[in-house]
Amino acid sequence: MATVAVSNGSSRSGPPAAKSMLNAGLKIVDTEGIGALFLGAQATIAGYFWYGLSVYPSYTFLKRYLVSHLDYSAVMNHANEIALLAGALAAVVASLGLTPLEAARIRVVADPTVYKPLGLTGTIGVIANEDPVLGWTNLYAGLPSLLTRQVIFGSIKFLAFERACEFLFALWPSLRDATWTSLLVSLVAGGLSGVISSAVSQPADSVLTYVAKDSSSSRGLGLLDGVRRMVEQEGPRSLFRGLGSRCVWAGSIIAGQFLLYDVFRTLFGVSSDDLSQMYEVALILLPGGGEG
Amino acid sequence: MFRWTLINIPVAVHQYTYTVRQVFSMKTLFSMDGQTIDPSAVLKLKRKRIVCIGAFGATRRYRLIPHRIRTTHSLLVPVVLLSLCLCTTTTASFVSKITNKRVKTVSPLSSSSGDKKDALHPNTITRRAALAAITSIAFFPSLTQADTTNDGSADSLERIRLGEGRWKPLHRSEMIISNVNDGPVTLISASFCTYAARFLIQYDRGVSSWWTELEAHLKTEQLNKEKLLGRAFGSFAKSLEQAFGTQSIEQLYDHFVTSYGKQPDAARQIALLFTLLPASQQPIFRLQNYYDEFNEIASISNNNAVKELNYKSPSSINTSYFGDNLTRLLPATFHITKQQRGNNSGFTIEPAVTLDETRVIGEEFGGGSVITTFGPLASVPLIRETPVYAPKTYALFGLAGATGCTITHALVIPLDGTFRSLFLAPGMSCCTLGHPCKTTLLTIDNNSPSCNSFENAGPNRPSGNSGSEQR
Repeated sequence: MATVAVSNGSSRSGPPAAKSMLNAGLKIVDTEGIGALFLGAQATIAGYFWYGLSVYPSYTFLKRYLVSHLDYSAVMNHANEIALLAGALAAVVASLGLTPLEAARIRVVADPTVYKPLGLTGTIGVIANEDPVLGWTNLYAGLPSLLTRQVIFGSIKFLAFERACEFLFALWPSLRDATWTSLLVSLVAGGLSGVISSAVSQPADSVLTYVAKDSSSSRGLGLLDGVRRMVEQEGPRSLFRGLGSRCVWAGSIIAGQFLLYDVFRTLFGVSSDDLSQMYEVALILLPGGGEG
Repeated sequence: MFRWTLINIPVAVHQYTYTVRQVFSMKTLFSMDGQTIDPSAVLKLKRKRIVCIGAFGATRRYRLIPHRIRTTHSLLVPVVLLSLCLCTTTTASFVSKITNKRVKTVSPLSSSSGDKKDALHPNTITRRAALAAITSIAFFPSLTQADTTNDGSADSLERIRLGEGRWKPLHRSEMIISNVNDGPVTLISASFCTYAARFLIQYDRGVSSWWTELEAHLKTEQLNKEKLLGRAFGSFAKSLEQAFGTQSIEQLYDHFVTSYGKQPDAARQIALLFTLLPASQQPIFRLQNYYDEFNEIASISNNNAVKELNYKSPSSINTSYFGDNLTRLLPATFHITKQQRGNNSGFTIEPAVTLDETRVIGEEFGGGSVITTFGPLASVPLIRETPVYAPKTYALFGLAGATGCTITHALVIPLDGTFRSLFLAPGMSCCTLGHPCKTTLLTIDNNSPSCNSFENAGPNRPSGNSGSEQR
């Protein structure tokens, strides 16, 4: 079994103009049918359904759990660390479900003629039965890589989003007045969070790709070795290669995620102010009260 | 789908009179007594704002805020999405199904966002004020949680003796309209509320343990300690104001006396508290009773002790006396005396206390608060995060997250497909699962088609081997 790293083209070439994108899209539809645009859609949808389903509740739960089980001064002094830890653990939970779906998606995209007719479950079945030694664990062959990326990106994503929201509301408190303005804040903070997360996770991501690419020849190249060799061979700037386009892409996707998360939270009645309690005192008239 | 609720803006709060413009500029000054309004009392209705006659014949202005009643229709979205994920199969026709269904799943979203435009919020206090308060109270998460998890005993504020203290879900607190039929809603002066808060911190066991816990928790917070304490105090005073507003002043006096009257010096403090009200509102008969009793005792016991005290304690109070300590009460030298002014007899405090009430529009205490001699009165009551979320809440978080992520990423699938076909050999993706715009790890079995065989899978592909050449 060989692990081949395939690098992302968009990180090399800048994002093309919208018009040429549209033309290209139309051309693909003409030549290959509309299906070419939707390769792996089933796995993507299933994967993100699981991702959203798992990552938000587990982040909230873990953060509240950590806060309630630490003493007050620890909570006050390490608020950022707590958020990072909760985000990282939530990313682990999400990755466990995401890895097999990602494996299936890659198969479908890589070889549509074989895997597309099988469907999502069929593809997963093929991968699980392919290797008699690994069995179903073959589905989790990509776990270490996915987990590393998810943990770094996911933990920073939540922390950056929360801090960005706080910052924006501190700057313009009136944005809290209406629901739509606070959703706008979610959108902008989500975008900022996506950009920050990509910037922070970019070096690790580049190194992982580099290590994975290299591991076909020399197995067991450690992360630190990878950093050293990558900087030696391609210069320190290679760690941040393709950052711009990745920021644009991740920024818009994370913005969309947080916006829609907050929209649906408000719809379902579990937005942050739905989950608040107000203190009130009910005065019950006491019988024969009053002593003068 | 919508109903209307009245949010009132008390215009004449004793010595303060505001012009209409001023009132409407105070966005966060809505009180929550939510009384129903007789249509005949309405004087003017203009742009969702009405002017009408309220308690004591005072003109009051109300703002209409629409409510959205939650429906279960919104739950259809994830159901549609779920069926979308599970039921479709990867055939040639699968793709066209996806496109159709995607349109369906997106449409409820767009309609709901339309709804939201006029649905401000179901809370009767503004969102901004509420959130400001939440952020202030959110600083004490361990405090509220420790109480519910550790010993199972009620929150210390729930043990208040004055009445039944309780934490209500914020979105249901609009139902506070309880005592409408019991009589007019009383407008209580800000000084009264803040002094009552001080009184309760001293004399109520529940409130005082809440306060000491708060102070203990804030020990580590050097910089913000006073600010956070002030916020908590102001919000607590606001909670009290709402409770006081449902009773007549006489009933309120009886409440205080039966709950705390037997404690040392409490009777004098209660009398002082009610003397802070304007003469027209004071419970004259009860104060008179207390006054007579007090004088009797004073005349029996030699007045010397009191006179001696006079020399030691300050004869006049300036704001700094109360400013640095939110638990201080008026010292022993202060007592009530009778004051005759025309036909109105009332009581005042001797020596005189200057009652400052300054309206603050800033955000310091949640916006639109009143700073009094005895401390701040916030514009929103005490609010905290729900200590423990129900499993249902987490489930809804999950549904919201799943729906949001699925829609976002379903929208970029064709974009990703175009990218893939434009720039990359097949098998590469701009949008890998769980990680946007990322290099993709391909795990390829030796038996499965090799990387090179992908290269010829479709048109429009750059020749040459994957990423490394594009670098």
